[in-house]
Amino acid sequence: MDTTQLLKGVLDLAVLAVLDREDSYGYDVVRRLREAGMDDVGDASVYGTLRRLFKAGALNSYVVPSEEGPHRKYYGLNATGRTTLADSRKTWTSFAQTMDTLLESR
Amino acid sequence: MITTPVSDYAAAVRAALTDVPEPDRSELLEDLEDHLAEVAGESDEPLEARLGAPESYAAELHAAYLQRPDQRPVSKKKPRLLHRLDARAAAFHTRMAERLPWYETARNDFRPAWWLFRGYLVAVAFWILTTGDVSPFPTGILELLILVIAVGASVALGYRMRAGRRRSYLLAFLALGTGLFAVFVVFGLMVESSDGPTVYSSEADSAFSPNGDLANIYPYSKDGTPLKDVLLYDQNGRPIQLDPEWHGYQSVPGGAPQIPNSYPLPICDPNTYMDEPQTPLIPFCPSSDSGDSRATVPQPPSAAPLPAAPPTESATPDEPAASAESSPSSSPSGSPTKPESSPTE
Repeated sequence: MDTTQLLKGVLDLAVLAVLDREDSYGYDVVRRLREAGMDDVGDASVYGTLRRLFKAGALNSYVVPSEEGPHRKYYGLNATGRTTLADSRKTWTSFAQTMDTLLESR
Repeated sequence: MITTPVSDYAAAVRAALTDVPEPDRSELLEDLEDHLAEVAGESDEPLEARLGAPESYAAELHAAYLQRPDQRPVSKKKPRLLHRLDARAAAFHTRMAERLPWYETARNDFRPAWWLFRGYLVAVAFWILTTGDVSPFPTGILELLILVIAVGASVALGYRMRAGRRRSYLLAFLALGTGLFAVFVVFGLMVESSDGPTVYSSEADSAFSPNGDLANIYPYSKDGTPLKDVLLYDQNGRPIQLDPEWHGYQSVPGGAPQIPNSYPLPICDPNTYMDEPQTPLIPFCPSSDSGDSRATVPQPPSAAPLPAAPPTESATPDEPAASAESSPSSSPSGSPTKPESSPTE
């Protein structure tokens, strides 16, 4: 089964969850998602998702100067983002349970 | 201008992103170069090898960014009813604006007034529902507080909605409702606890106390014989009246008009669905044919504000079987039916 199709639906939730643990910048989010097991996550997808969530008002951002490289734009959840995360978490949990039930009852 | 692998790649992505409309496009690409530099810093492998062709990167970016063009990322869907109501309201406003040129401006000008009024309506509805007080103005500190909270919340909600944040529409109303309820409960408890003792200490000795724990009085003679038709007065000669209705009792239906301070009052317990009467001294009301016994019961005399007739020796109204206990008995010795002085108003 191609996980990229599945990823599309939950990438927002995954990015919000990563940022909920700790504020982070674009590439670091990619890294953390991959470390968590989402090997197939695309760099452009994460970047695009971050920009979209930011534009939608779910994230705040601030620039942190970096000594060894370019300035990093950090993103973090604001109140809207936390609400969104909480809502999506519920949706996901119930959806995952539904799937589990479907797959078990064979 | 120095070209680096990163800026080349970014330029190629930018060029491939032609189908994204402009304000979105520059916003999307704002930090792309910094981001790509970060990626490039990770290893020496060329960007093309790690990220794929710029065109496919652009396509992925495009898909991720425009996934939900309505700008609500993972927004919870609005409840359907609210959604429909919103659509209805919007259609109505559009129609009105087409017919009345001043409608739109007036709507905007009167909006804050509407917020105040709506909060006020919520407050009034709230205290009507909870306290049964139908007065349009706040009576007492509790209702004033409810009014302040409701109006404040309504105005805050108004500003929120105007700022375009509609997400917690329903939540806000729920919060408002529960907040008001909490205030009501807390204040109710405070009022109750502060009221309790004062009823007994200062009010209970009042001749017209409706709040005391006293629903009826059962006089007995020294030898234990229950007395009936005993007229009671206080130190000022005022008849002592009780309000059994306040305690949920009724006067025995079909009884003759009673002297309000003649004790024991002929009352009965209308809660015949209970297993036993609340107190053995007060029997159940006789069941009437119609289901609603209350409708057939004549107004109890005790509720009438008429001054009681001054006590006279002959004033012994016939009392139709008030209770089993007050069965006909011998005339009490040393009858206390007449006070020392003649009662005055």
